[in-house]
Amino acid sequence: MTITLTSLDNVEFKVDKDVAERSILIKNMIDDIGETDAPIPLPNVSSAVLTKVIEYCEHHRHDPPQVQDESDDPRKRSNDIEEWDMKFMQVDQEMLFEIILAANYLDIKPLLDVGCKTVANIIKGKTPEEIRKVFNIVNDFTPEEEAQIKKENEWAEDR
Amino acid sequence: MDAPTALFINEICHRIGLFLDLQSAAACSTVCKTWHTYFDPFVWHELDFQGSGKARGLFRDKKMETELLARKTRHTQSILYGTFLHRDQFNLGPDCNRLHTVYISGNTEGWGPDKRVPPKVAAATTDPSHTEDDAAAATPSNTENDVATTTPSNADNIANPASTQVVLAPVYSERRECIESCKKLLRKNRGTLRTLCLSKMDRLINNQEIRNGSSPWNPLVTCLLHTNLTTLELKSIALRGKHVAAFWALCQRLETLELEYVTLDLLRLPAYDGRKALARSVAASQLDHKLSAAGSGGALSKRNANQNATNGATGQDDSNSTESYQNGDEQDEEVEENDGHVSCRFPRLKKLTLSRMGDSDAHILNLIVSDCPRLQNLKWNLLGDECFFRDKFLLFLGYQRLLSRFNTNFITFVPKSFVRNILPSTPNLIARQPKLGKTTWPFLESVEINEPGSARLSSEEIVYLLDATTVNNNTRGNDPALLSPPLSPTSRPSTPTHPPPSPPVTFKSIRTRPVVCSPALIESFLRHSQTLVHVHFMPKYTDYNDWSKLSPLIQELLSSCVNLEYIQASTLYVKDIIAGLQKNQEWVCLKLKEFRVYIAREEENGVSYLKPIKKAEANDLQRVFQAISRLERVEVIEMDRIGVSLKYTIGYPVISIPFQLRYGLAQLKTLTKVRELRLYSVQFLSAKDVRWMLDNWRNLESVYFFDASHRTKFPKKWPPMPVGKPIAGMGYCHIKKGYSVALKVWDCYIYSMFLQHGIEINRPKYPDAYLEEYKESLHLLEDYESEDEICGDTKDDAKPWWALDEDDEPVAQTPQMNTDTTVTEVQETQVAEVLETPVTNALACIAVA
Repeated sequence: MTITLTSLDNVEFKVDKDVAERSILIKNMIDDIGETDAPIPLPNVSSAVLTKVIEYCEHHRHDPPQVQDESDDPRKRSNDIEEWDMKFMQVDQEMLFEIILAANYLDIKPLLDVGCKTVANIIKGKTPEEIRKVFNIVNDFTPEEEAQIKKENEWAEDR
Repeated sequence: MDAPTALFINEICHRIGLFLDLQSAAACSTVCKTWHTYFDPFVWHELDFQGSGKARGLFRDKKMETELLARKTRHTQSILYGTFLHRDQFNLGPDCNRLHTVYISGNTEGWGPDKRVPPKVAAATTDPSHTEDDAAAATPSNTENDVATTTPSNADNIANPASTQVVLAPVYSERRECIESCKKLLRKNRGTLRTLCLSKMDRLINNQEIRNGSSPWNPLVTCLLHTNLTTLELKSIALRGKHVAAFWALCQRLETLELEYVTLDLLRLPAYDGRKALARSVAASQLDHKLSAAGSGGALSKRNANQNATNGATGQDDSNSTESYQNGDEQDEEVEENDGHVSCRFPRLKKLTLSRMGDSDAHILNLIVSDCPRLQNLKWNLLGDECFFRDKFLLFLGYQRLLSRFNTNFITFVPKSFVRNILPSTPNLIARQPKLGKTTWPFLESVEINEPGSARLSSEEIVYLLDATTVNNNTRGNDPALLSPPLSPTSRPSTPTHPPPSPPVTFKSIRTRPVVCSPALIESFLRHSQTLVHVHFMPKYTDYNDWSKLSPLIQELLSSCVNLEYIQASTLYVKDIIAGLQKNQEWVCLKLKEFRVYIAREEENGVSYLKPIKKAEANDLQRVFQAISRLERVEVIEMDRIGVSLKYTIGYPVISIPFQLRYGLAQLKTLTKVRELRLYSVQFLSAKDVRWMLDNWRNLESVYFFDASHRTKFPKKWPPMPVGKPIAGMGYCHIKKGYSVALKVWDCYIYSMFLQHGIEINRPKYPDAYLEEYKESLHLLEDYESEDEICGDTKDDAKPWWALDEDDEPVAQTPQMNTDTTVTEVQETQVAEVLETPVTNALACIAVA
């Protein structure tokens, strides 16, 4: 059975049900309204991003379902990304964050994790100033506030 | 461009934070105000006060204001207390109430005498063991702490520490303060705590306290109230009295358990339904084991020893010990709930790690097999009390560095006679115990057994272990304990367990060292041939004769395990491969990624490295390379003698197959994915072979030569190369005195070849001047490439530059070799003719040297 998804710019995507159901949002929708031929509108996702997301879901369609609830365990942290996923994530920054937003909206935990790992890898080893530069973030601290935070975190710095 | 909106959504930043290390989290929290609120909690997620843990810096320079600290630690989820070093660390925020992980170590190293105490008093009260290093302190030598064996009359005091009237020296009172803080912390986190690690708790007590009837603080009993606790690690701890009972009650809900040097009698527990017979027999055989162990420095508490003795006196009845545990239970209500309902010891356990448990191996084996129905990972370091001697001895000899390098402590350096005389012999206990029906581990994924130098598990025992992993439906039906153990009241709702997959269900990985390769052992292994993915046999380091014994098994595994991805084993003999091929046993492990098998030419003792390769053997080698060429997915080839120091194996009678074109290296053209090559010695390669590798293995990234690591120092200037008589590329000749200059130049040359292609190599860096110095001789080494053609000619004047003098005896044999040309299978016709020459030349060179 196929599901039709409509993107923000009104492009229709036909995907297999098991692929679409990698998204918990869509899965819940289908569970709620029952199987229907009516297209599911995804007003937050552009067709370019949706193409990428579907590509991801197609590749991972046979993965075992994710185990929930352990996400907060600090011991679970691990930054290794599968080779395929790594290549999949080699996109420009704008697309990267679009994918993350889409994964968050569509509730695709593994994709969200891969995206966040990629961002974490970008952040790693950078100074606050470098991070601001990479992501165009404006520093809104007063010099005093910044000094205070630096002091609080002093123990965590590398030395 | 504006900042991406995704970076200002709480959930997304939270997820990113989960993947950040401490430093990056700290950096992120300084980026902007919004990020500060997102990422500051991650800075405080984990406070690590252990060894090099950053959190120690919290109290190093300037103390943070308590109020601020309290606010920050509200986010903390895990606290790792490495040592009882600073009392302030224990007063960390009273708001720490979301802890998942607590690690408490009673280690008191660096805990100096209190300033307020006159030095003399402090010295008198300081436990001498503080100055000892870890290894020593973890051993039973710590008799002071062992006296902490409380007599039963003191048991009440343990339950109620407040009632003990102990006069403590200030430094110890401070410690008491810390303990109280720890208690508070644990109490506060009852709902959230998942992981608890305790180590060396016995060190938190001194002699004076012991004399006053106190005992080390141990939070196990109170931990029964931590309903989410599923991971427990205990290290260097003596469990006594009610803590034993508490431990067993906890085990009912543990999913991960790690025990290292815990003087807990693993085999004794309150007798329960259907297990009485086992308990009795266990107690009986335990007795004599313990008594013998106690004599050899076992860290048994006297109480246990006494109980054992009592058991022995009352006709080896286990009722005594049972009663004593029940008494313990009555002191504590939580424990009582579990008593009598125990169905099996570790009903939920998924991951079990045992190290240095003094109990008999065979008994532990039986315990694991019969009481861990949901086991997924087993890691078992078979180091019992006897290792204490070895550790001490090696330390005494100054081999501490070595000890730390090898996790399991090998007795390579201890004369065998010494070991035999000092170490108590380990009786083969498996025959003395009731063998339970075959049980199952339907979820098992990996087994890792690390044994010390001397063998502990017999191959029968390993067979027993292997067989336990095979599903036996009959047994499952008969033994209700293995099906679904009733929930104990304190345990949290059970995680949904999948129905066991259909048989045959086996494990994926094994790492052990079978002693003797019996047919039964092979059969047991082959039972898992469909599921084995990872095989690692540790070679026995003390006795190289033993290595040959695994050869048939390795061959069987390679030709039957279709899913194998990793194999590390020594030693596989050419003759076994050939024998397999004759029986049409092709290697089927086509998924293999790492092929770390030492394939050796010879078996008989005393074979020299220089033994020439005859034509029949050359044919065999071709077939071996053909066999290897099937393994097209291989990325790592390792063919050195794993982990053995060259120094101590002089005259080791096996020689690896030479990786040379003339013996069939070219067939490995199919292995396009090879990225790492580990060989024993560079001396087996000629320039031609190296060039071939560089041309054909395009993915090659690194090359490792085992013998390289032994040569890290070079003379400032080498002696001149003996003109006209260098040897090259063949026959690694290890002779202490005459290690030829030419060989070193050869090393250097090959090394530079790899380096030029940007391939990483483990060679120590040779000074550039070396090759420079021998520039003139180098063309000779280059010439070696055409050695085949040259050698094909038997005329004296056509002899290669490294050939022998006429009157050397191997020359006389050369024509004989050449006339024998019946072998047609060798592809390069000249090859057969020159098989022997380089080797004999090397020999000649040594003779000259």
